[in-house]
Amino acid sequence: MDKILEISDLKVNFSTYAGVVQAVRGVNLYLEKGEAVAIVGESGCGKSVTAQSIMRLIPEPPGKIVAGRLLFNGRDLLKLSEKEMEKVRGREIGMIFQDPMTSLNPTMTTGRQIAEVLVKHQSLSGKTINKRCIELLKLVGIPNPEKRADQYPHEFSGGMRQRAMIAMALACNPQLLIADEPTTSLDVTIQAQIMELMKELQFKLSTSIILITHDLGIVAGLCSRILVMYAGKIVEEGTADALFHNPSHPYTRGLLKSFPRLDSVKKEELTPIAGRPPDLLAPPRGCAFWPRCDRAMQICAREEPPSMEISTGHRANCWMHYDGLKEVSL
Amino acid sequence: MGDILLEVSGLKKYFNVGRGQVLKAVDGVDFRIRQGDTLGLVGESGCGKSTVGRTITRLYRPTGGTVKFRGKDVFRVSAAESLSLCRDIQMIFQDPYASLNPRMTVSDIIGEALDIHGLARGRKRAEKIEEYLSLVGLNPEHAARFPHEFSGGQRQRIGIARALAVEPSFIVCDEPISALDVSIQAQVVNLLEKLQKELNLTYLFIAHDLSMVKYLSDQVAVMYLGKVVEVAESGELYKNARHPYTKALLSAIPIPDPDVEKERRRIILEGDVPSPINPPVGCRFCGRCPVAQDVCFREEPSLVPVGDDHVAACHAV
Repeated sequence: MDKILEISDLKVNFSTYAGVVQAVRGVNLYLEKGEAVAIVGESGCGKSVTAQSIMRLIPEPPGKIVAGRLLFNGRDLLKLSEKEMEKVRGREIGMIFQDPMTSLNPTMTTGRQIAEVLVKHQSLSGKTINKRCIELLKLVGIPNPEKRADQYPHEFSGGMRQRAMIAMALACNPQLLIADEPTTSLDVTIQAQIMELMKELQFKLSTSIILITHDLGIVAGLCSRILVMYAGKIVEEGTADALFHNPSHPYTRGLLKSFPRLDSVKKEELTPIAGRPPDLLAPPRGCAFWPRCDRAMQICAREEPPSMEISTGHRANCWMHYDGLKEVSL
Repeated sequence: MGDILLEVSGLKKYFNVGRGQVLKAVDGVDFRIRQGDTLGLVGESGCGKSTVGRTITRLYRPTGGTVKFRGKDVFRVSAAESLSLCRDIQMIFQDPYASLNPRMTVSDIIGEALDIHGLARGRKRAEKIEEYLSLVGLNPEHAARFPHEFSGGQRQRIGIARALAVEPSFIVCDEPISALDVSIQAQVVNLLEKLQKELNLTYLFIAHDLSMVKYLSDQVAVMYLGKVVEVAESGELYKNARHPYTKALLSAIPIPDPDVEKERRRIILEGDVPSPINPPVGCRFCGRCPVAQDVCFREEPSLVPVGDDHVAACHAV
């Protein structure tokens, strides 16, 4: 399959009063056509910054993409001018933001906000645009789309607003959809509705999806591949099966053990990860996770682990999987 | 089975929202909590679960109904009893950023509780503060610091230390972990469990995260639009949910296992929670219920026993 997106060695810094925050410290990832991939991590791990970099939405200054390549369909997005980038945003790559309450314009009707995308990117007549708006609202499951198109965001509930956001992101049939924590501010029953909708849309329109979330639970149903991010780096990547059944980075293992499962029969003790994520103003030397890791070795504090293959397509950045180490320990 | 510590019956709390409209946040809630148990109260946002917690701690005066603590109505007490009730019933708040005074040091925050109840003075006060800080896993040397110097998880520990300082027997935990990161949540949950065992505490644990509630609670009460729709022992509720809303809520929770997810059938509820200003006539869930019958649109169901220690309010059970 073709790769629609390939990111290599992406680094993003933010200058603050306290110093330079290294929010993203060398991210490598790829996405195949029609594939849904999840980036999972805690707050501050750089997952949203990675997503915003793809759209070139990092505010500069204070932010700066200091290194890396962002190949989208073979074109390096970092080399495009702002004008050219405007043609990519919304048309080729759509984005759903975390907070549907604040990311819609309160002074415009929802219909007009969707129409804006179409007016910007497609030369359609007014009538066709209206028709398409209503079609889109119907596609994302908003009842009464004709009436709803003339309403303002405050007349929508949280779940409905998120649906309207998805309609906007899909307006020009983008090849890639980036969903940045699309369900975080929603209730579980509404979250289930939105996840079901995304699954359906991926099936119907075969859009490639990057789902960014802190909730390992919601990715299991939608995404075929999962990337786990920690302190600005991807520490483990693999298929959903590999990651859930054979987590190979101690951080992933810790995450999976730190929340209870609804379907567990007997009560298993939760094992929290001690400590807290490192300060990215001065990331630790070596592996960023070693101060919290229960299996840290001397080398972890000295040298950064390279990405090591566990099985086909399953990689983890941890010295535990270093071949030389295995020989010694036997 | 322990004695009943807290009994809530027919609890109502209405808010006036202007223009003659009344928001019925809590509209007739009944449950009981046994000494030493944890009751999980779950529901979606706006269902009134936090209002229940705040009414029990007497932050709100109820519109109707009673809350009995050790058999005594908490809203009919003398001033002296009122102060001792404050000692007995404490609360841990949702947002560790907003619930600590940024101008007070940690030792002042915890010490204030000691001062109000006259529990310790001078050297003993400082010792107590240190004792509670180490009890919740914070470094006692940090007592002179301000809340902004701590992370979210640490602040929540300060909130817990503040609640514990007056030696309560009952704590209302209002979404104590929802503002925290996943890896930190487990730290706080384990702490709450440890404290419960050591100090023989009783919890009302309010949350929207059903998997965490299942993990922590002995009993679970499910709320929908100001009403309790189902109460059961926690294992029973998850195995054998009877109310269609509970079933939908349980099926909406993702399970972090791709194999399980593939096999699972979701019950996707249509629409949103109706407004508590004009709740539907009859059963409040009727508009979204997949098994609604005619009677559901006319008559409101009441909680009826459907098993051992298991009640549900639905015409279909």
